[in-house]
Amino acid sequence: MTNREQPARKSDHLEAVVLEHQAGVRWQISRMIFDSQIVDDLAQEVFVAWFQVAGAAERPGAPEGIESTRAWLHRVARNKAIDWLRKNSRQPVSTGNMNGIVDGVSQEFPGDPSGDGATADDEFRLEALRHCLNLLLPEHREIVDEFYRQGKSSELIAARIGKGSSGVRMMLTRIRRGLGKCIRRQLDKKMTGRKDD
Amino acid sequence: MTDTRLLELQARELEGQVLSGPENLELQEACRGDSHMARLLQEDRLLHADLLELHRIDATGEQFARQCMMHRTGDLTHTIDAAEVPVLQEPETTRLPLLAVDRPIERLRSRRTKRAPVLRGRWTPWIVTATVVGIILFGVWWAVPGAMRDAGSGDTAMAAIPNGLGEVQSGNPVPGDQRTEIQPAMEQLAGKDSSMSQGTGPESVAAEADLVASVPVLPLPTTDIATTRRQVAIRSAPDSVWDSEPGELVSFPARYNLRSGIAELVLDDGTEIVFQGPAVVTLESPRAVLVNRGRFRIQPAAGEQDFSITTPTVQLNGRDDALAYLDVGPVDGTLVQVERGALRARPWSNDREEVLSLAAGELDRGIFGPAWHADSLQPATALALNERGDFNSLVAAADRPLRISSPVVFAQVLDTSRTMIQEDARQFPQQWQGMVECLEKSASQTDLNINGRSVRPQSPEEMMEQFNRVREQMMSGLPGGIAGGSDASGSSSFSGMLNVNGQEQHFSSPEEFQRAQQQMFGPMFGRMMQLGAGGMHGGGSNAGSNTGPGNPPEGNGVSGSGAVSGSGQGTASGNLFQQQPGPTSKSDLPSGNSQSMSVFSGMINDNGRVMEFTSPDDFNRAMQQLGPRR
Repeated sequence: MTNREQPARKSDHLEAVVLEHQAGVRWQISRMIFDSQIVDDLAQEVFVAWFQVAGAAERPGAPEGIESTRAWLHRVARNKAIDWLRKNSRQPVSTGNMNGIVDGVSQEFPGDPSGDGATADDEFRLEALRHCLNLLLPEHREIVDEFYRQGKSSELIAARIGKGSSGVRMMLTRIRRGLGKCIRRQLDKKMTGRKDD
Repeated sequence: MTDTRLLELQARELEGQVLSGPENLELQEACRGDSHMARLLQEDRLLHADLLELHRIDATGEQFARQCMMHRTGDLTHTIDAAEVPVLQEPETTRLPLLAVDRPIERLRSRRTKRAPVLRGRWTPWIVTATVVGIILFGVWWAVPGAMRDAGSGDTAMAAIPNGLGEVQSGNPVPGDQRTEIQPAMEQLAGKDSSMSQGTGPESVAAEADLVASVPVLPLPTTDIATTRRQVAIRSAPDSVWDSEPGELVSFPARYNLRSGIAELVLDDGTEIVFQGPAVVTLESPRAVLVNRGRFRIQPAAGEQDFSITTPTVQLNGRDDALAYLDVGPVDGTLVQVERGALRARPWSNDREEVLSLAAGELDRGIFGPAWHADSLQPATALALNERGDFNSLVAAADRPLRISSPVVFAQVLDTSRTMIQEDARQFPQQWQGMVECLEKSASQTDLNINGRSVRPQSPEEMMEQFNRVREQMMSGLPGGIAGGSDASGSSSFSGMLNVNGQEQHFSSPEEFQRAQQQMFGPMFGRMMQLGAGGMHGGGSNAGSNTGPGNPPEGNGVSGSGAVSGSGQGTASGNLFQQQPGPTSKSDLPSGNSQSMSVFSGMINDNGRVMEFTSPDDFNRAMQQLGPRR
């Protein structure tokens, strides 16, 4: 390996880490903070901090003393979000896990000082949501895609499928309810798995 | 009330529709009275928020990663390789790829319902009320005259400008506001910040203090609220040092302080600004740039509005086809070279709308000194010129500008003014005002008759040129000129008459001619003609050798008295700026050390007599030397 190749590889590695974990980190912060601009800014700070830690490492992979890149990133993300909320005197909306949903928005961050449990739930919820979206009927998936990804209004979608906008809104509501049930099932499965462990 | 009805109401709310008061009440009461329904609605809101966030994260993942990599080790410059630096001379190749993450406004808008799960419902009536009250208060504030608003500032200065989200912030002055930002910048120029100060001697400090005092408070350019949040790509040479690390998303006004090195800003509309530190540039809006110091290459993007570049000494306005180089110094003022298109230059923010036109291929170079103030050592000067020796200028003091298109007269006016300020600075404003007023009134109503020949100048400067010529011929005794000359015995052979607005003064010697001018146009004018016609240099003539007997001045430009252009062979300012004052090739943006972007140097070639200059002061001195030479 030449000297010139080494930084390139390190750079590639760092970028790969960002690509792999950015969704989870941003998602986790978005559990606590709704402003997407702030979410991304904080997530960026998380990765910049990671660069400083990993930049000194000799070779790709988690630096010495850090068992898991994912766990490190999520812990820092959580701390940064909490710090931001404290500084800005905002109440967290939800921890993002199912307890948060069930117990209401007033719940503070649950036990587990490391935050790893909540972090795992946050990430699992993300994966569960992706999984459940894939289970949707194609026509429902298309409506979700149009509404959330393409930003189309219910009127536009209604015009395409030949229904009223009210009907589209209700369809989206039913889809969301279905997704919620699906996610709950996934979470129950996971909880059962934990108990089994 | 059915679940369907409540879910429908919430679905409308989630989509961004505003529910009516009764509908809101309906939702709130349902949530209070039915925990199952409350949970159902809350889950629905959360799912909605999750779906929005998931799609946003998926859509912007790669861009987010790129942006993170740009911030690797906290240094934006790491992504820049000197070999990647574009060739700036060719507009087509100067366009850099936008490096910043794309966060278009549309995406932000698409998240319009993101806050709904929390804010809407319980808080909607409060938000609506607060918004209405805010609008009313803002309307009242806006209706108050500006002077009253300013008067109310003081220690608790209120600054209200649109922020990046189109909201109006009020309270303490905000960063980027010109009214609060210009002062620290000027303090830096005045040497209070040693890291930004170039001059160290007392003269330099005094000169910089002059500049500080003379900095006009230019009006804030209008900022389009809809475009206050924009994207900018930033590239800088590896050795560049920023005052604070710049971000890629611009909320106007945005200020950049480059302590050293070379950097480039590319707005998402295509406006390009390359600058060399130390430089301070503030993007006031997509169409308005405020540059406090540094060397710049500015190429505005196409747009319906004029593009505005404001420096401490001049405001330049032009269309999108303009390409200009600027050198904004802490003491020397602003040097401008228009490479393409045209710019209207309004120096010193003068309220008389006195404008100098700069255009490629015409008068393409400008020198704009600091505005005049009570402690100035000379009047304010603003010049437009080109390689061919064409010249136009404004000289101003005590709120009275005088337009001069002859470099000889320009030098004469400046020289006299300096002398008179040195002698009695307190009297100078009054003398200047009197002279300019008298010249303006008398210019087209003055007859100069010498030995039966009559000349009627049409402008103040033409009159001064004519008087110069007469006096020089009288002094040198050249035969055949309008002033005749002396006979073999040495006695004067001419006589003349000066008629200003019907008032006549006769003279038959240079001294009498001098007295006549003084009586007609005041002591300053008399002094000026005395000094300009050789008083300082022990005689000589301003009359150009190309000016034949009785020839009237040739109008504007430098050919009238022939001082600079002479027979048309002379040129002023061969290379006022270097041919390429900005970084124009890859080699201009080196890694390691930065090269100079522009050098204020040039030469005046007057029929073979060459005078070089490296600063505006040098230039002025060179011009003065030209005037009384012959």
